[in-house]
Amino acid sequence: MKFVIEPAKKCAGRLGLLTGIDRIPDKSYKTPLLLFTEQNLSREVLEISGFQNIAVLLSFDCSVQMTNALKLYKKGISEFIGLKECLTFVTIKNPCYPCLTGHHEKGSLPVYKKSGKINVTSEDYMTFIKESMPDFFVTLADGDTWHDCSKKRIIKSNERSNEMLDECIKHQQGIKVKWSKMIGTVEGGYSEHERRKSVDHIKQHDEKIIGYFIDGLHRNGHDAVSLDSIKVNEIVKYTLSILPHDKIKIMLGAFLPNQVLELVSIGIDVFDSSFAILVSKMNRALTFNFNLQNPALLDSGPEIDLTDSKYKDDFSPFVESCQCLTCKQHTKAYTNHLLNTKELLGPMLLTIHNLHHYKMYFEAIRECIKNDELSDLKEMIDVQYKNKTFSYEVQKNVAQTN
Amino acid sequence: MTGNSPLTFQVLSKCSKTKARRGLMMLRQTKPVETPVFMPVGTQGTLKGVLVNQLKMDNMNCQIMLGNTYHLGMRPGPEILKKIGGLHKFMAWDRALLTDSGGFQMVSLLQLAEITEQGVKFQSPFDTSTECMLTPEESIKLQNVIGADIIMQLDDVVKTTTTGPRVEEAMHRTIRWIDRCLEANERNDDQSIFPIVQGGLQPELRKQCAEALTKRDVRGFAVGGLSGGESKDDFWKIVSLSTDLLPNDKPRYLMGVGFASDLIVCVALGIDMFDCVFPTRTARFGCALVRSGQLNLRKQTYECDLTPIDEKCGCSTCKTYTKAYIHAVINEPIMCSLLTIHNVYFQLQLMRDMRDAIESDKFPEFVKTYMNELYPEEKPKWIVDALKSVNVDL
Ligand SMILES: [Zn+2]
Ligand SMILES: [Zn+2]
Repeated sequence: MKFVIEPAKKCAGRLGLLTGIDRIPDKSYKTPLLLFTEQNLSREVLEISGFQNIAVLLSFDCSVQMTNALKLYKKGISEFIGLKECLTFVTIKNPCYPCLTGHHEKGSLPVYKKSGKINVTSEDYMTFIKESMPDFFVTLADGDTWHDCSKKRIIKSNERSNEMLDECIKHQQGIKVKWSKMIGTVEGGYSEHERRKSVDHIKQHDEKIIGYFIDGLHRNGHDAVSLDSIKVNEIVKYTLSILPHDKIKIMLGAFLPNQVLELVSIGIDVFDSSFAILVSKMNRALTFNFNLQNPALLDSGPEIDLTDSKYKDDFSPFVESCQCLTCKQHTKAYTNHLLNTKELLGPMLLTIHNLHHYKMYFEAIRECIKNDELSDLKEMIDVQYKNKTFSYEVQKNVAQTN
Repeated sequence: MTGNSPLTFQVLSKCSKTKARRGLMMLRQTKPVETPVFMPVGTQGTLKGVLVNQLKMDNMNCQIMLGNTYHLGMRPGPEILKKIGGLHKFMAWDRALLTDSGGFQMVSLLQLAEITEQGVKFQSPFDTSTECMLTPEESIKLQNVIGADIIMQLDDVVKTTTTGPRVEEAMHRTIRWIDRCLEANERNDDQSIFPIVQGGLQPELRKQCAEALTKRDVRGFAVGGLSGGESKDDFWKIVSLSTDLLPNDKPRYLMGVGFASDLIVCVALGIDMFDCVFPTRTARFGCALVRSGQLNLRKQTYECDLTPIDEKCGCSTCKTYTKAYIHAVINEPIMCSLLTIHNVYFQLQLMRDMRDAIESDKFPEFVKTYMNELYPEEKPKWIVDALKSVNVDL
């Protein structure tokens, strides 16, 4: 794998290119990169919707039930889920869903999969990695820390995570992991001291680590939306300052679009689409404007609730200029009807639009870095999300109706 | 049939042994529907978890879909459909649509529906103090707003297993109602009403009904009141009698039938069109249709099954996914999407295979092969009898 950062300019943010991925050597991915999180769209639907060459984020908690099948399959999880030409990145927990609190057993991590809680050891986790053969995976870690958690919890999380990292490395040497590259999970909550300790520990294995996952700042789900931006920026800035500059940096979670820009300007290279997924699950469509060339803002705000009865006879698309399949073909009225009648197609149409919107947003971000316009974009997004209080509280395993 | 007719039907080839026929139905001159055809049911203006684009893909090539007037009349309701100009535009489907009259849904879904000479009386499902009436005129008015290419008359529905004078009353009322429906149709130049042959399980009543209905100026016929718990013996005999009574130059639609063996037998008996919720409903419960029956992918045995649902299937699900994958995402929305695609494809492919077999005059051979695969041991007697009646010996 090769990660090349474009020569640094004075401006904020960095552009990079991810190439030379062992399994898919002809593919390249531009950073800041958006990973597609659990989207529930089949390969055919993704193709029809124009989502080619995407990078996907898979989580251990939502995929562990595939382990036995993957073991026999031998071709890896990318092909198993029908996306063999796509970059796959495995994390521990799906960032869309709030972490459930669980007792931390020694040497294992409580993880909630579909059928209930399991305590995952590094060995279990690495077995899954071995069988799923993703392109990248994060090391197992206890990231159960948040903005006001106790010092004791942070110290505990760090100790446990250090042990898990050592174990992951031990297991990786024992098994023949074909092409999967390891991303070091950095913990330490909001404490600079503990972040330093975590980074120091990972650095001992630096030749095996191709990038860093900055974890432990939120507890997934809507918690990532309501982060204290100043505190997060400070600790992320500090953490990046003590990490090697040229390696790829990842943060996962449903950050607000303006928070993404903060993290981009600090130097984060990879994000995921959980924000777009949460918005879809809340029956809303993203409508925020990120076009600096045409900065007129809609009165309806950055997100619209398609269950609102005012859309029942609105035969316009979610966003007039949007080129997604949903907007080119369907209306707000139809989506409103599908949501009212609990039809499966409703969430699908929302997901297609929201992923498209968010993907285009990342294109705009890269463009803005190039043109040194990131602060203009930030201002534009800030205005739109200012004083807006949307709910993003989605629970895991919400039973599907119908 | 004049060149401007909203529905033309041409029999392209006929099986030399059975009553099976391959045809081409052209709706509003632009929407071809090859028959025999299976129409998937998109009750509320969508097939569960499937994009209209997927239905129009070359391999799937779904040419006609069914919508339910009762559901669509409730939600989104006639005002919205009128505003946008009908269901085709509302759901972005530019191919053919068929709607039912709403009567059957009412009688089966609403406990307190009552049929009078005027129409179907029912309590509003949203406000039990309000009494509503679906008359033949109302049904057509609603279907005119929905705008499907083929619309159904309101018929007097009795349980298939009902006996006695009620069956006869329903049959006569159905005949009286077709005239009210035809009279009420304000879009006769682009929407074709199909009358429905009723008469329960009594050949004499079926005969009377068909004779009366064929005197009307209509472009196709439906056979109703079957597939409701009657014996298979009664079922096939009534189907066969009905196709004998109906004119050869118009399409014949058997309502509510969709199991593979029923489809094959009824095509052999001369039916051209079918609909059924079963393939899409069973998908929602995690079941996939295969030639030997159906597979319940919830079962643990599929955890490590790395083959597609059907190796020979040409659907996008089978081309990409294994049974193990579908088992791993059971209950997730994507499961429903993947299985709906496969099951609808299964039905449409079965119809394509039958059309091809009829075209090359190999339909009896096709039937034998299929039935041998479906029932490797003993074949159900009704199937043997029904096929024997059209000169196919299993
Ligand atoms: Zn769109
Ligand atoms: Zn298939």
